[in-house]
Amino acid sequence: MLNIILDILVIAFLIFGIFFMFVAAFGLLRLPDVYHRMHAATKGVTLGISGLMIAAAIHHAQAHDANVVNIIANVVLVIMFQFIANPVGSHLLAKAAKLDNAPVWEGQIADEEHNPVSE
Amino acid sequence: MLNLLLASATAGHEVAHEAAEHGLLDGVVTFTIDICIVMIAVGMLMCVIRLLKSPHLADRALASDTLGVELIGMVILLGMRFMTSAFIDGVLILSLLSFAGTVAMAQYIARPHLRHKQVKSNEKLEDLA
Repeated sequence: MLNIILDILVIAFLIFGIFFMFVAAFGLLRLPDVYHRMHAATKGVTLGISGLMIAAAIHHAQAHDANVVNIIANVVLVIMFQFIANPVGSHLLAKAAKLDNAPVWEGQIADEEHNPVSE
Repeated sequence: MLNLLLASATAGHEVAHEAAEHGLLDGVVTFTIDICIVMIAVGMLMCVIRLLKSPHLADRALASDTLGVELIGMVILLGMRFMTSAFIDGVLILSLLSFAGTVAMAQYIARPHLRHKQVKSNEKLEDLA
């Protein structure tokens, strides 16, 4: 009974994670602009890796000779690192693209750096 | 390396056969993992297409970062498919390397502009002095 519940949890977290990973890659391919692509890729990838790692932890913890503490420590470290590193890397990359005048989408309606909103 | 992979794969299949006698949903889980591996492969293909044709260097840096994270997902899924928890240890190293590459690319793109700004501010300081 417990095995069945854990398997259903594994399948649910796998579908959750793979949905976000696929949407991140699809948005990276389809969106028109560096900033749009960054918006799709970073958030989707963070949630997708979290879902896949939780699914892997539950799946590996069911084995007979599983070192559960080791697995859970690795999973928690990876998820925490993803949640810290992805926003930082995305922010650095967006600042670099802005400094290097990356081409923007034609539908952009305002650039608040050069035309600041008046108060 | 190949021998190690083959040994782990065969060992994983034996363990999978043992576990198939216990669990009711093991076939469903294996099928879901296979579908997930295919979808990750399609996502990696999309990242490679964006890496090959993109208008700016920041696009390529972003695509390579996303490709690295999709590779992490692939490693996790292959570890689940082969029923070995040894691949979990490599995931942290892969994510660290991917983050370091992204930071290095961002610094490489932004460095000329930053140096320009610094020179400007130094000139301003000299003018003030």
